[in-house]
Amino acid sequence: MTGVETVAGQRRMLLTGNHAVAYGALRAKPQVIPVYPITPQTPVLEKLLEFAQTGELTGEMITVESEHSAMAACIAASLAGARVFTATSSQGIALMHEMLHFAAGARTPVVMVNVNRTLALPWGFWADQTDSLSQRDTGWMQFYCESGQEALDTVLQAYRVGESVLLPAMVVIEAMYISHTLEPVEVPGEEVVARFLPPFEPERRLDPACPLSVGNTTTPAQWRANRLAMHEAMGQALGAVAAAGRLYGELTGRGYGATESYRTEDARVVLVAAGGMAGTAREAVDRLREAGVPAGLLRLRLFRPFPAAEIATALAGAGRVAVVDRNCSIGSGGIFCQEVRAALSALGQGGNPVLSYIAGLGGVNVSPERMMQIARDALGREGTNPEPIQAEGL
Amino acid sequence: MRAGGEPMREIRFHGRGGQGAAMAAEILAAALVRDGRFAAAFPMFGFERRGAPVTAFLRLDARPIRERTQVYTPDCLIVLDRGLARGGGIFEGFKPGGVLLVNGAALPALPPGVDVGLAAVVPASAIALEELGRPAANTAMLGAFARLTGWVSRAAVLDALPDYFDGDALAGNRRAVERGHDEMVPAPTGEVVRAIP
Repeated sequence: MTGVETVAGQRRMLLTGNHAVAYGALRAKPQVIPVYPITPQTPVLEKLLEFAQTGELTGEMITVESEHSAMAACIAASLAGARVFTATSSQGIALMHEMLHFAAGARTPVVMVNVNRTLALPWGFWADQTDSLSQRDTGWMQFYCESGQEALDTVLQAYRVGESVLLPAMVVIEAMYISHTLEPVEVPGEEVVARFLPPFEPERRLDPACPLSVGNTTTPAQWRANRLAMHEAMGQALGAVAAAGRLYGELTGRGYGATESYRTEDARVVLVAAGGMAGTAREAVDRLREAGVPAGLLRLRLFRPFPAAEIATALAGAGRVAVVDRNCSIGSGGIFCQEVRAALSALGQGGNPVLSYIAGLGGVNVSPERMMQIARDALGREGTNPEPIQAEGL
Repeated sequence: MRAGGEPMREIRFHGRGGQGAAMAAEILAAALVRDGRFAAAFPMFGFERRGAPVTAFLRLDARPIRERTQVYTPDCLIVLDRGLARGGGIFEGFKPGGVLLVNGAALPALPPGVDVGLAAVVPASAIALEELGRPAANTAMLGAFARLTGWVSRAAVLDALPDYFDGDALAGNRRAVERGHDEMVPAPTGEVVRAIP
């Protein structure tokens, strides 16, 4: 392992986002890693196979015949008490869809990286959030990461949280803008990770010595009870995400929350964004401030469970709110915006003027200038917009 | 724009599949990090095949880089295939007074209004054919880039090579970097050349 030793046993390496998450997985020491390749996620599993060849990764890699099978293998291994990891993207997560519900219903804390990529047709390779957002109701936690560094760190936190509440977790990075961007990343040492992430030791597991079956037909009341238990676990996950992010910060110097407010105090306009676009928005906020425009950023890191109360508090004083979505629910609009509006409305803050902007669909570039334009546009509008505003048309 | 310190610089690479443009951006990022800078590099992802136009991007700065976007206003263009300059599309967004490095014997015709502050050519394909046996012009271009701009040291470029090559390929690419550095020629066609502050 090359790179430069930095603080707390960390090593600074030049890694793509894909390789950063592979290092995150390596440090988590998964015991079973079922994988199926798909552009642009393939370098994740190539790197893991390289770790397996050098002996650094001792878990069993299983190359299966489809993403559906990859998730099926994850579920079975997790039920047997193994820590599992996989990664996918686009058509892959779409094919997995049935098994995603299955994983959550079986309460298996699988951790999966999803590289946000367009869904066909037409065919494309670039960033779009629809592939993961359309898995919203599967019962998976979802984290949207701003950088390769955050993605690596979040893989480790996803295990800690998922294994404590018994829910699967998806760690999302955008195609190319993160997956293929090479940048300096701090890789935490094994000792630090061992202090952060205890071994996975579920109370119950599939064990031939003590036979037990999973997945039987239930009565309506049993099915309902299982759903409600999942929902309750999601509620617990909110606190667990905050606690894990704090502890991780104490150990590595990089703390995380469900959301992040950046220069929002006294902001007259707050951009709301998730994933890599939040980094671009951060740059735009600094430039707007230099130009005398009081702008801020609310970054959404956690999408499920949805941190509604935290968002409402963060936006309570905001003059105008501009949610920027790199997705479009066809026939409705930007999905993050719908969720933010619903949260504010449910918490009695329906008066907050929330504007919906769609930008960067299909990987179209979203520059700092575009983000600045969105903020200025939001400041200049009266009321809110019933239809989402296409940022590229501003 | 910045609260002091050197400005962020943006570089765009234009090449064809097989010349190593995407890898050039990676090697340069690795070298810049060795020089104590921050860098982010990524390729424009498309339908990869030999001969297809390839674009790659790199940002360098003294502080961490937050933008996650393509490079639209490059401070520097590194052109691995001179033929791509035909039509002038590669000069889109080129910053006035920017740096132009071209693989070949002469600069291509510049579209009207393109203001080049510093330019050079280097016979990178010829060097690569001699040193590597194939026209992977990327490492010779990086040797020339180090000398032309001073934004990265030649030593750091050489240090970064073992991350990408070993054996004969490593030795050949080392020679290609050295020769690119030594055989770079400042704008021979007489374009305005002025020192970059």
